[in-house]
Amino acid sequence: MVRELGATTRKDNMRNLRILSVDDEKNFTELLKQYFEPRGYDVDVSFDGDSALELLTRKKYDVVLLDLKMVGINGDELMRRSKELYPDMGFIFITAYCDSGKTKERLMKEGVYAYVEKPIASLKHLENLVNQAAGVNV
Amino acid sequence: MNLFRISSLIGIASNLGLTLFFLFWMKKKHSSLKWFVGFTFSATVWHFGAFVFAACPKAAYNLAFWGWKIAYMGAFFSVAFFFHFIICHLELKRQWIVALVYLFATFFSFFTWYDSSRYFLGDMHFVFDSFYWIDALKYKNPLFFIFYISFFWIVLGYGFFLLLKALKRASGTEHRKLKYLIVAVSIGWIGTNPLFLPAFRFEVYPYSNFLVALYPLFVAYVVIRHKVMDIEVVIKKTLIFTGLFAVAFGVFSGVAYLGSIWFENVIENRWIALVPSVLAIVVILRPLENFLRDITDKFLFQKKYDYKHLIKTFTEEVLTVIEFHDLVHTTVNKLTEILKLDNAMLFLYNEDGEQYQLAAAVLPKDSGKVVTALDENGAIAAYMRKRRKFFLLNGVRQQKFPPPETMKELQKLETALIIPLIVHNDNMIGVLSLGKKKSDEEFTQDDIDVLLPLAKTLSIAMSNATLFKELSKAQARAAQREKMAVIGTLSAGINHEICNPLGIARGQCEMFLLNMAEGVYKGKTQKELLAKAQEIMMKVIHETDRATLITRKLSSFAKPATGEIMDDISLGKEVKVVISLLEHDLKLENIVIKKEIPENLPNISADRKQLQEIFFNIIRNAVQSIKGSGEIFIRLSSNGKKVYVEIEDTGVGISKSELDQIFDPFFTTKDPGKGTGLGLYIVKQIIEKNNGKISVQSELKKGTTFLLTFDAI
Repeated sequence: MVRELGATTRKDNMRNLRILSVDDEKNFTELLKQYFEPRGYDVDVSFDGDSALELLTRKKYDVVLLDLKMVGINGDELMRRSKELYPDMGFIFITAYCDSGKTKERLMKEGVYAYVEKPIASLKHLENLVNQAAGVNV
Repeated sequence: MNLFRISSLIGIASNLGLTLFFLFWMKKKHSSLKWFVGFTFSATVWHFGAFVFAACPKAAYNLAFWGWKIAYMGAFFSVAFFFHFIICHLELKRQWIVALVYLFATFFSFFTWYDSSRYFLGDMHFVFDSFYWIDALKYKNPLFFIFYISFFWIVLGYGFFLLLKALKRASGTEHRKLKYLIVAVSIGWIGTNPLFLPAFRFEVYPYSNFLVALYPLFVAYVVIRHKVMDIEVVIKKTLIFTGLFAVAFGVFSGVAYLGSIWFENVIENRWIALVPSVLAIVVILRPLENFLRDITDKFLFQKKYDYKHLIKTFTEEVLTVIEFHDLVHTTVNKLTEILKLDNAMLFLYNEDGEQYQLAAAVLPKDSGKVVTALDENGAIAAYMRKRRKFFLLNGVRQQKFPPPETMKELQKLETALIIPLIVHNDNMIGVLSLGKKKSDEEFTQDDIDVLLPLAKTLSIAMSNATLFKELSKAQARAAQREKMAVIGTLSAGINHEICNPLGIARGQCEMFLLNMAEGVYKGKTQKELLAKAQEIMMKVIHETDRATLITRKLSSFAKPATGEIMDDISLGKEVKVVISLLEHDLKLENIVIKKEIPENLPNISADRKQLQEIFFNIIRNAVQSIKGSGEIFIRLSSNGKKVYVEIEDTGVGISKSELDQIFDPFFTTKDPGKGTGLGLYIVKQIIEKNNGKISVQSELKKGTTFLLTFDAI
């Protein structure tokens, strides 16, 4: 099967993609971890901006999946600061925050790879976005 | 001494007394009183003349004739002055008739002094073996005498007719007054006519002169007793003077008498006794005068006292009432109570029904069918709207009378005084109808002078109350809109609580299916797969429950409060519901809510939704007062009888001057146009409706604490 092949291809040929999931909704980060890990991704989770920034100073990730509104440092602030560290890192916002697309537009201009609204439509689609953001051809 | 002479003497005494009394005390020159004085003076002249001719023996022919001439003058002018008095009292414009009457009176009076007038007057004949009387038939030329009698009949008859006409239209006390005046005229009439008879050689003794003599006394009695003229001051001063005199004289004589006996026995000089009596009078005179004035003020002239009371009550009790229903009822009740009215009704315009509806009334117990509404274009409403000022039913002093239909309707209402309530100089918002006073006294100009400004103020107060009622409604609507808007802005919290569970539930299911399809579960036994599926379903149930809960809370909160359903409420539970709606957003704004909610707090009786709104508003206020990060403490406690809710924030605080006003209606520190939610005035009202109290403490830059107290059940 194509999908199975895709998953194994990367497993065989490349190092695992490193994902950081930042969300104050623990069950959500848990879901992402459960989904991505069996498919050959390394997933770290963080429940707020500050601890995420701490993780980022220690280690580079291929893709950061992050929420916009968080206690402490907000999603966009987190992105700006991490871009100072890793200008080419991919960011995908997954958020329930909605304001008729203005925020999305602004974030896209700032170089966000994707902006996904909760509830997410498909985990598969998210996986594709992660791969694309990391520059992997699927 | 013949009886006619006695009647003349009485006439002189009574009329002269009255003349002097009125002249002496008449400060304000009341127009009709002036003419009444003229009348009593003329009557004095008649009686003086009559006394002179009645006192003359047969020999004193010339003096008797002189007496008659004087008597004639008095008679003519008493008729003229009395007629003028009636015209003036009825406030009629008949100046040329009055002038004509005076002209005739003057002409006849002077004509009698014309040297050969006796040929016209007739001569005198000695009657009843006592005095000379006019003999109209002596020269078979009774022309003058017929003129004389005609003058009496026509002028008094016309006055009589005018009084009757006024009587028809008047009612209540004015009606009574006029009746007395008519009786007075009749007495004058009855008293005068028999006096003409001896002139035509009918030997009827002029006893009726007694009636003529006492007739001014009767009129004076009517004038004073029924306040035909405003001579209260006169009566008051007389009473005080009489009281003072009586006491002073009493003390003087008493002390002098007792003292004289004592001093005579002791130091053999009775005149020394005058010293203590004079001293006693000097000491007690001033306080006595004050005392008498107070007494007369209070018992005879209660009005002044009532006015003070009325104005005080109105400004302090009535006009401060902002609740419309209370305002109209208090107004009507207080007016009836203080003015001691038979009835009072307040009709207010109702746009829907296009009529003035009875908003409040005090009615006598035996009142029959009550008028509950005045048609907008009905006889009364239309008339009052056109007239734009009060109408006093009993007053004949009105220049213009309403159409008979309106008059009939007003009488049906048993109105004595009707006042239109006008605001902004154009809108008649209502009609205040006051019934007659229980004392049967008429509404005086003083009453009206006090009542009109009160009615005006009342109109404004009612207009304010109406606006306030509308404002409260608008505010409640605004509060609801605000609530909905706030729910909208609770996006982070709401979306978090709805979208996350949904996303997770969906993700769990999708992941299971993808894992199956993509071989992630390869090598797992059926049992292991089933356990995995069970685990996922448990998660899905948990997440959907979460979403359901928040939706329920939201929809319950979004419904408008009615304030009508009193339940046993656990304050702790309701506070938690509100906090749960706000908590997530507050966390994102770096505001931490710290709550102390002990178990087993007593319940209270309140409207659940209103309570939620109160907490929501106070917490929202707290949030808005916090700049940057901060904390909100919510502490619940109870002493068994009361349940306390303390809501403290670390916000900017409220200044002392503002603190005094924050529960006032319309007060806000927020910029115009900013969503204000419920004003704290409404919050306070709602809390009070739910048998609670609210108080506040605050310090600038430190924060604010609201303390809510409710009765435990």
